[in-house]
Amino acid sequence: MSNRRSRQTSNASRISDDQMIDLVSKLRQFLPEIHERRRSDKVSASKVLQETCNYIRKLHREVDNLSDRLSQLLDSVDEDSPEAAVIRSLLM
Amino acid sequence: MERQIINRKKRVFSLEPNKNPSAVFTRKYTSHLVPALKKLNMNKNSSKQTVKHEVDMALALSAQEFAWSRFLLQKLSSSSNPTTTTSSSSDGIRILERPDKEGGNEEGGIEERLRELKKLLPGGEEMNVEEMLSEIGNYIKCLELQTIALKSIVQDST
Repeated sequence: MSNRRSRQTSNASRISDDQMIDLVSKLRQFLPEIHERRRSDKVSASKVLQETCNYIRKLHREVDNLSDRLSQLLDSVDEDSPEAAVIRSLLM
Repeated sequence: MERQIINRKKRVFSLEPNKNPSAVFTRKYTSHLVPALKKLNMNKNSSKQTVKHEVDMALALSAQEFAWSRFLLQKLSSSSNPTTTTSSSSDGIRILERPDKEGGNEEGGIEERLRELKKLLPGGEEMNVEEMLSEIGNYIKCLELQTIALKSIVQDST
């Protein structure tokens, strides 16, 4: 990001304090671990954003892992095993 | 890309018209994903990449009322390479965490985090901050529901 420090080209730099407070209150309800934090809105805004990013990445990793697992199960469907029998009944 | 509406889905709605949105999403998600997996199985095409593509496609198709979903659908549909997925692109992001710097660098921290968030949200880089903030909560909720649905499918098979 070549213009990292340029405020003119960044939408993010336009956000007002009111919007930031609104952001914090909105995002808090979606983040389990944030509920217990009690700090001023201004100080915690950056942390809430960071927690949000971390949480989304965690969910992405979970989906990746479950998808890989599904792929393995599909590969095993043709085998003669109890596991394969269950997924076969699910898919057929 | 044409997906038929399953009669089963209509029946579900008529039986439980006031069912909560989470249950509706989960039914939609499963009704999109399971037929797609059946198709992969019949075609002997169950590589990680193709399964991931269908997992993401089912997510996009189950939440079409949201802007992020339409961006995701557009991305998946235009990609001839099934390995191009939302999650794998986001996995490439490596952000150094600097907790000590928070006090003195409040303004910079917020902007940086907002840019990070835009990369993680499908279509986020094309939205302004206000639009992104209204979309991000629904995106998180749908990711959580997707995870629950996938777990139930995988655990049914274990």
